[in-house]
Amino acid sequence: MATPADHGQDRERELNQDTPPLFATWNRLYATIIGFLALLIFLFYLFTKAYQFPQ
Amino acid sequence: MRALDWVVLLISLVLIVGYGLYKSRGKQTIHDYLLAGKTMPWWAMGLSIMATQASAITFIGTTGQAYSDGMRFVQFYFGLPLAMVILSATVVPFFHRARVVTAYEFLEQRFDSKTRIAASIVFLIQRGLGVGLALYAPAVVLSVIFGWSERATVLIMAGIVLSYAVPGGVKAVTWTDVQQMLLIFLGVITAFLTALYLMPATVSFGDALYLAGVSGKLNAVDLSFDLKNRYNLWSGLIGGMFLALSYFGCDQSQVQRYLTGKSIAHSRISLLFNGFLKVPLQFFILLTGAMVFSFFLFTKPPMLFNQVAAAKLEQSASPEAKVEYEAARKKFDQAHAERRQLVEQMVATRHNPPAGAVYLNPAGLRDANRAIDDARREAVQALQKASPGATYDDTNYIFLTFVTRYFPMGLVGLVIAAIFAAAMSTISAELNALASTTVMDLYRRFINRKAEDSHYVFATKTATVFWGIYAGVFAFFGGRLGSLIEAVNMVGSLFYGSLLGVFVLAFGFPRATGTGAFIGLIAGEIAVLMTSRLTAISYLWYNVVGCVVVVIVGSIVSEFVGTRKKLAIPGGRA
Repeated sequence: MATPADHGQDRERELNQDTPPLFATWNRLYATIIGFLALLIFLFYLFTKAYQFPQ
Repeated sequence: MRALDWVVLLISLVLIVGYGLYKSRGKQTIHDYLLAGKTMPWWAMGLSIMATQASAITFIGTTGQAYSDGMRFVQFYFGLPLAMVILSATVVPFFHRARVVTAYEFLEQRFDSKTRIAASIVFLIQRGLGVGLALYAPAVVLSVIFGWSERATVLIMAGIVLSYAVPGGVKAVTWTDVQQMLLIFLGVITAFLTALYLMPATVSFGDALYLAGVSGKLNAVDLSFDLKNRYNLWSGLIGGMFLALSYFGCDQSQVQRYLTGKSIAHSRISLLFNGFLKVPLQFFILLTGAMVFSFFLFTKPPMLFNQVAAAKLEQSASPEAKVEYEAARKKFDQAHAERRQLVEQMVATRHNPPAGAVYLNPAGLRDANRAIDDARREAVQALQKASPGATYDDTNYIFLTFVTRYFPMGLVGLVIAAIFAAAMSTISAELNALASTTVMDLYRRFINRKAEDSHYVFATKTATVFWGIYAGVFAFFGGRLGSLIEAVNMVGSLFYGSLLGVFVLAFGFPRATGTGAFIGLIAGEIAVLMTSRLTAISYLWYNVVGCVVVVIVGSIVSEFVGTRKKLAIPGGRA
């Protein structure tokens, strides 16, 4: 039967559970976020250029 | 607003508040009240983080900004995803493992009590002014647009927020934030689609984009490097990153959101979720503003969107100002008629281009836009002649004018509900954070250390009510503060960089001492104040200046003064 101490340890384990749900490692997930930002900036740049007309 | 709009607004508000209270029912310890017992899933925290950042003025002002200044404001958010990655990798595990309730509590563990007090007081001053403004600003706009009483709007908004933030604590705030953010998403999508739907039948989305582009509204990325230019790629990436690091890493109103996480992984994901969605969301909101601009190319907009200011001029005693205003109106009417004719020709030519000839006339449209802007400028000058010293900026009135005049019944209520949601999500999180800091960093730490848990819950509820009343009083007298409101905005940006510098010392410089951090904080503040007073550098860079000065001065002073403290956090490095 689980004691309060066991319960506390479970809670501690849950709190420290630290694996990302996607991409296996945090570094890969971070790289994906930064890559996505770079892609967005590039697409926004193309968008700006496509709708920029000479003065 | 018509009956159906009121029904939509009331149902939305009742459902949001009811859901928040339902989710937070039951007896709560102080840990539950301030950290939701660390039971929140990542998606709820992520939406709450976004909702806290999105104030009512962000929602209605951003669309107005795209209308008047184009989409370049999106660059302000480019540094945010980078900040989310840095915070996830560094700050989040530290805060969790240190078992802190507030960000400033961590500073005492790492440095000393004086650094904790200094940081909490900086936060209370800055956020205290901010929460008053968060309540006042939407009340002003809604009162001008609907003719509602400013004070009644403030009272209703503050009353609704307190009705769930006081009994439910952070759990109620987070769960209402979730609903509020979903409502904001719905409001933005509805506004965008309705703007497209309301365009003349002959005008396609491509035409609307083309016309906005010719008018210089689709300037999303500017690669030029200029410290005085508020929004370009570099100020957004560097200045914006420092601002986001400060806001999400050192401001209790955000730190408290992700400290409620079930685990370190959940807290990290909630921040990364924000990093993933924020930039596209802001782009979409700005694009909606650009579409509102295109809509008003075909439909005559009011010369001045703040109709109350215009009405004041009508009643003004200055006949000269009235004459000038009327002359500006005639110019405006004529300029709009010519512009409309021109854009109709341009659309027709885009659909059926005559062979071998260029009939599109972008330069002509730019000239027509300039004529409209000139007429508006002359009208504003007339206003200022009638009320000397008054400033006029109608950016925040553009979107609401569009919604209230042209949206079908029901959708107006939905968009107004989204604006209320945006205001309430920010205010509730800020009240919650102000109360946490007041009780945990000051009251419990220095006044009453050994009371029952229930006493601290009661003290935090009392502090929430106190800050709510304070925000209401600030908002009540907001109109008399005049240009002080701008100063209040300015004050916020003056503190963040230095606060961030203290946290950078705490996390990244093991040799830093409490005294070094404290003196560094003062030096950083002086440097930021001097930068703002003596240079024309844009405010986003203040965060960089403050942070860098604190780190340099703090590191040097730490070599000579203060006791080095070893921080014992399981899994921590410091």
